[in-house]
Amino acid sequence: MKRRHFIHAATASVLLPSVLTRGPAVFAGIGRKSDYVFFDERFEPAHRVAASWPASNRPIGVRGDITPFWLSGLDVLARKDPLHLRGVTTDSFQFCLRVLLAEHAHLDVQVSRLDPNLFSWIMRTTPKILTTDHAHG
Amino acid sequence: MAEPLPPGVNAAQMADALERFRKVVGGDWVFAGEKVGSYYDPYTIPNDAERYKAHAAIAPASTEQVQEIVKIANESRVPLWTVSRGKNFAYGGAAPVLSGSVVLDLSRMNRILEVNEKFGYALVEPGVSYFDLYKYIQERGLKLWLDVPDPGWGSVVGNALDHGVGYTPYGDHFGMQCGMEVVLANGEVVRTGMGAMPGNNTWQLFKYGFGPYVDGMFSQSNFGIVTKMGIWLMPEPAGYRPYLITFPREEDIEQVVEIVRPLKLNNVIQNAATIRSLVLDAALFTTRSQYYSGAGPIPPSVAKQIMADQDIGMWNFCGALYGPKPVTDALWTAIRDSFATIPGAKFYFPEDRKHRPDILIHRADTMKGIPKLTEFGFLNWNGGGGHVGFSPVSPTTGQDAIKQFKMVSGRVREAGFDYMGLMAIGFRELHHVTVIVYDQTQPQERQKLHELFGRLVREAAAEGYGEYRTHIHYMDTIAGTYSWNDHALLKMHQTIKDALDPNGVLSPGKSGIWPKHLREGRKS
Repeated sequence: MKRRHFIHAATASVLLPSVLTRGPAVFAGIGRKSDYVFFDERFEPAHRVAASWPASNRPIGVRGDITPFWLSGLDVLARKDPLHLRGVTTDSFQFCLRVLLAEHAHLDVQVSRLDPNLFSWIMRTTPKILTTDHAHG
Repeated sequence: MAEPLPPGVNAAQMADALERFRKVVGGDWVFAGEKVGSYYDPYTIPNDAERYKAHAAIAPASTEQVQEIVKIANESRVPLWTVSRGKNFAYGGAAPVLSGSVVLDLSRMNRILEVNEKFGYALVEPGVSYFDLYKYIQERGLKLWLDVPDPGWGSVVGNALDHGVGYTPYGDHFGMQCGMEVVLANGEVVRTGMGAMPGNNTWQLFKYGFGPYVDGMFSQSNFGIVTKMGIWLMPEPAGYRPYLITFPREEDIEQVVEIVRPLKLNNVIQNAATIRSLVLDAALFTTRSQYYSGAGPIPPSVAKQIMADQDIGMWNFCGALYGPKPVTDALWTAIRDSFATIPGAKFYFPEDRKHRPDILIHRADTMKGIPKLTEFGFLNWNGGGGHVGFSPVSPTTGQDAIKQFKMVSGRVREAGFDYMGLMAIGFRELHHVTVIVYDQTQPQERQKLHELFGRLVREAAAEGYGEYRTHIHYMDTIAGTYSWNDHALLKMHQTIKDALDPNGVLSPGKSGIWPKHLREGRKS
């Protein structure tokens, strides 16, 4: 499947809470497979929603902390390849993921709140151009 | 909506300045239009979309580029707002105090210039994160530990300059700073301390150099742009043993802090330990709706349920022992025997903790300098994600601790929020940091927060408790509380500002310090 490239960061949709919409229906009908799907394993609705999405890989159960996932390879992927990520998670996971991804990639984000605990989101990334940065030591 | 312009600069002048900036750093590294959105404050407090909005951002790669940018800013009068990595969330993130400023994003300046294992220090640029430095040290197998704040994505330089703290014995980050390189508003590059001597070999070893010690002037200030900074790193200790002591009642905080003081002064408590409240710790791994669906703060019965479920107290003291076993055994005996005088105190090491995830298991990493983002779990407590820190300083006495706790928790709960606070133990002072978590999607909640915060600041100041750090929305307010001798300190800051930055292009409004042309009629 040919990947779509998203050139411009639609960060306005990330940082303007007023555009949050209710319910998962906004994502219905999007048949594109996600590279990765994340769901918060503490909440049964997250299991249910994530299971209904098409995904290239098996959905990944998480809790609130992005740290182990970011450091176990997602940071490298974000620098190298365009990604299509979806999730049903708590706020901390999606907020931290957005901020981390934005350091390495242009970002297009859609977020909607499902319930008091959970946010449903899609993040599409395009790696930023790198020059002579990241030369340590 | 068009990005705002700063006072005194029209669209044509700004466009010209941005074009000149592009010639310095390259077009890819000037961000305007849609791309400036990532420099907005994700937790903006005022219900005014125009406030604290950058016009554009620019990301230089070197000190030389910073010098050229500053020259252009002076010629065009375009104000810059400097951020190291822009991760100061809860205090404004990368957003400028003065709308229309161009954010000077130093995150591309991310070289680790030296890590010296023999003397235990690093020399870094502002774009180096705690994650970066930790990885560098681990990859080379160096026997050094970092000291990290709760979020590991922040800048080592930026956090120290903002008087941030961590949780090892090196927890006073600015105290561990040694030597800096600074670009002044006139484009001159200065090195402080021993760095001012050519060919020196002690720039990161001896803080003071000769003559006035000026490093502090560049912390929480807008007097210059720090482009390199030395930071001391702790040698890996011979042993490490984290511990948790829980206390069952809110009023126990008075006795806890009274016990802490002599232990800290005598270095029996070696690290920047923390006394954390029930809800703050519960919020890391659970959400409010898992326990309570009512309005207002959680009732005592729910607090008791959380304590039982998660095996934590109303207060949770996280500390750690560093050194060889005979030393840490002796220290532990003194600590345990001191706190055992408080009825109901319970003592844990990591192997005693049964739940996963767990607060001690999590803090054990932080207290040995492993950077993480786990602490952001508190955003999930009520799901709205907004948070701001209220951070007054007090003496390390039980009397002050209970007074502060009652004052702050009372107001926070009256406003309908849960109290989520911690007391970070310095050598002689407490940082009482209260995180107020609110639903940022609700304008009325932001307004309620704003009213609450103003009240907290006024009431704390009336008791002599000043804040050590604050959100950009409150910088003028907090600066105004340091009013001894008719605001003599602020007047001195303004004198320095006028001398070093006469055109007022560096971070106007930072810490309530405004350049002359923007000062008239502005009330702190």
